[in-house]
Amino acid sequence: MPAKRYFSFWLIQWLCKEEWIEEIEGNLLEYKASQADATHWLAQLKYWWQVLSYFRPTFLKLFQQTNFIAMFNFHLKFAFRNLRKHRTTAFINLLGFTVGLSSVIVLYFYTQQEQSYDRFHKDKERIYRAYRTNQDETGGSYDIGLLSPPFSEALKTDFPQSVEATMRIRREEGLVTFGAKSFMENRILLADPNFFTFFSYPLKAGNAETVLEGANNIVISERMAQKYFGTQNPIGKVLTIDQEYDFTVTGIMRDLGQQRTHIAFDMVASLAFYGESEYFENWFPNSITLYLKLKQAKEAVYLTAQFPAFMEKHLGSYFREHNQRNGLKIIPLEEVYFHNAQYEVDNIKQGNQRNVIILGLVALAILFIASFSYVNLSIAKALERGKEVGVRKTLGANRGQVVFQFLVETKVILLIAMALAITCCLLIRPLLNNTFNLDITFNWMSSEALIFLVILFFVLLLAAGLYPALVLGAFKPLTVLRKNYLSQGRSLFLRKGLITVQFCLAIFLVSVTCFTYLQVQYMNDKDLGYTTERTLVIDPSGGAIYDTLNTFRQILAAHPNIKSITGASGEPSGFHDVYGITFKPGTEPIRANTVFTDVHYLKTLDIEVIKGRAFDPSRKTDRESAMMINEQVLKELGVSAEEVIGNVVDVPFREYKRKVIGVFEDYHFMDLRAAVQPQAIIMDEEVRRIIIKIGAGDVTETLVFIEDTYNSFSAGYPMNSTFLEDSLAQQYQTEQQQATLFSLFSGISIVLACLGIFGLVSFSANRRQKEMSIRKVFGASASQILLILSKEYVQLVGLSALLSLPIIWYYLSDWLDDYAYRIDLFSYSPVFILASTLTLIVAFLAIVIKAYKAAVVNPAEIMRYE
Amino acid sequence: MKGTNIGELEELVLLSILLLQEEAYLLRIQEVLKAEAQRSLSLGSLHNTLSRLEKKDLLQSSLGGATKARGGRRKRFYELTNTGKQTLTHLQEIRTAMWKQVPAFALKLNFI
Repeated sequence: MPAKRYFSFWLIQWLCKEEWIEEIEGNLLEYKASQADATHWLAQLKYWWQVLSYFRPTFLKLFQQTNFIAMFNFHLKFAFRNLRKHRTTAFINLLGFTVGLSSVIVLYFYTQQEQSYDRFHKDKERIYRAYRTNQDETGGSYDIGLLSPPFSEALKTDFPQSVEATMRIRREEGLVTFGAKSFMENRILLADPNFFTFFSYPLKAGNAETVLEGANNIVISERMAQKYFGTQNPIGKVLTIDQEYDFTVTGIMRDLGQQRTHIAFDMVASLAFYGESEYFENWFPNSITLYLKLKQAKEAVYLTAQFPAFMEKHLGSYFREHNQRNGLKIIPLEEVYFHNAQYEVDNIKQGNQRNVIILGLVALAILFIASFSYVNLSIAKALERGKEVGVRKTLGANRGQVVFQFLVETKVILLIAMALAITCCLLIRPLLNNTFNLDITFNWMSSEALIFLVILFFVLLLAAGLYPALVLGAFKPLTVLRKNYLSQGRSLFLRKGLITVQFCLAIFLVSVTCFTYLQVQYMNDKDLGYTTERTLVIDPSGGAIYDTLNTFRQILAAHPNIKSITGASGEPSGFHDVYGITFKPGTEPIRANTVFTDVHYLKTLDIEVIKGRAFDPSRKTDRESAMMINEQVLKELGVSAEEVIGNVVDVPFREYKRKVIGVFEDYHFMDLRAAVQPQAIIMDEEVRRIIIKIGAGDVTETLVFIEDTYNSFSAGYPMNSTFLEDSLAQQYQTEQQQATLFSLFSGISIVLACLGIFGLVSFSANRRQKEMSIRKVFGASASQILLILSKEYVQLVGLSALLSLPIIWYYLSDWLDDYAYRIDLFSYSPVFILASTLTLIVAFLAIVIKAYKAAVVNPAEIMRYE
Repeated sequence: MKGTNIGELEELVLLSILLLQEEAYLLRIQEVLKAEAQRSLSLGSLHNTLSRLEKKDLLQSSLGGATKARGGRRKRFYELTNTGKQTLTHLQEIRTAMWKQVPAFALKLNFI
């Protein structure tokens, strides 16, 4: 008999009523025999159709009547009755699980999302990003994200057997105009024409192979199509960039939806736009990001080994001339997003893997706290259910059945909590996304998410439900029924352990929250050494204003409420060029952050000169020959100011020499994560930012005046400006968000931990009822009883505080290592005590609420049944 | 009144059984329905209909006739009970009576 028919018979025998089986099988066999070619798939299909047609009420067994199902229904019924009977406990349990599950689900989707970057590219295993490493004059090494265009051809011709294709991407910003609509866009890419076949960004319109073929073709995202063209069809329309260059829209990219990519962009045009220019021949400057598609992923090892020779071949003479050396490295596309290298110059979106891991751990901690509370509460309740178990067992239930029954109860609670948590997640999503500036989407239907939820459910079921169920299952009916006595056994030690772990985690989270806030506060309050109030920074990119900058400056300077105005290559907290400069003959060069600016820079930012002199507007020679340095340069050189002032030094890449005329005090031109670096201020026209110090008068009026003046110069480019204070506040946004997130989770963890201690106290209060009554009879007061009952738990919380201290200390010092300027843990140790005390007080309240009932009860009530 | 009203399919099934006489068992009935009435029924649904008719007391059945093609398993032969026969005849009479009253022109197909 063929296996298939055997299987169908097995099904029939399993599902159909006894009295029909012989007939049905006979019919099916005869049917099979009547088929012309029974092995053909169509015949098989017809056969199975006949089999399936038998699964109808007339022939099927009545499964509801089997014992197993009946017992299950019975358990369910009991579970709901118990929930109703112990409303408070049920509520607490549901609350705990709902909050715990919601946190875990949200964090799951968040971490999942952070890890899903660039997973949708078809050839993702073969795509690598190239970057340079730099050993400069000072011997330091750092990574540089950018390369120059010739790398592309050179790699292809030198390694034809390994490299299949290359992709150069240049980032641009520009004023994009269509008809009356005109916006600054900063996410424009210029890329090689094979962009859409190299990567797998989906196209809604246009052919991936040819869409970027023309030098003036542009592909835009759906969002941009909506923004510029509304309901019109964008294909064939012309977008003007920077009021000069016309681009024809030839394609539209589909919205990526759930997919994420580290190359964030809105528009792509072809690099061919530059024509046959020298741009593609010059090994300097570096301005593109380069991606390689290898023939096979394993070629990466070979290539990496070949790179030193490759760099030597193409740039060797340059290296020797400039006494520096670059290396070349590649990393897989999927790792780019989390690549932790500190890119000196980079412009791609990067994630913080450490944050993701921390949040994942927090989620795990909350889940543990929630299940521990459940365990403690359930065991506390067990006392009241001893009789139930006793009766069950007397009537013939074995241990396994009792365990199963309690697992069903846990399952019911978990299922309800799961449903509530999912609702909860959906409700708080907009709030979360707004507060933390995230873009979390819940992708419930993905198979991974479903598997995760199922696994989560069963892990929780076992973690929270198994132990109480086993304890209840182990009750001896005789003991329980006769003495109404419940042995505390070894389980008490375990439960106290759980409580301790819970409070350790809670205190840890509270302390970390406090310290994160303190560090952010510290960084925001720290005197940066220059003026940040009423300082406006204008980004004049757009072109037209450069030619008339001097006139612009004069008109503004004439305004009574503008104290000072300067043009610079970068504002504090902004971009600085880094050059290796030899300040004193015979010493090693120093990596100095440079600012190219005018005489007003120091005055505008209110930075003091401490040695030598400042730039002098009246000395014409300062314009061509002066340079100033900060104290840090002297510290690194280990020399006095006098030894450096007056030296004439080479400025690399600039072909000129400058004389050091003065030293200014250190100020924090970078954020406080980094220590103050050496800085050199050089007189040169290179205005990438205009910095304006506004006086004490009417700020709004002054702003309007500045904007009007700007507009009269800028030929249609909108003014792009921020106050320095605002952009500085943005610097520590990550930390701020982390602190908010931590405060949320520490609140949750405290509540959950208190639920656990609540359970344990009610357990011991119940168990020691008689003892307490006797104490009362002999004259103990309510407060003494309260003390006896709560003492050991307060001790537990105290123990947790002690145990958590080293973990907190280790974590915080590790975390603070990222910050050059940071709070001192020792001097802030009272905060830790405060956090512990706070937790202790909350826990104590939870204890007292429960213990109070036991303390004030009339002893006669308890004793009279003896 | 259970058993007096039957559906069109049930009528066809009863007729098939009459037609088949001694050979009236499930697979034969299925074939007849297919050949005579162009009704293609799965074994299960036909079997279900038969057992329903038996419950309505229009059919009676007996087991027997194990063959090699059935792997030695018996089959159920059906025959009409008196009620079954009466129901069919009754139905036929009603139809004939009604047909007689239909004017001939009412049956002419309408062409647009």
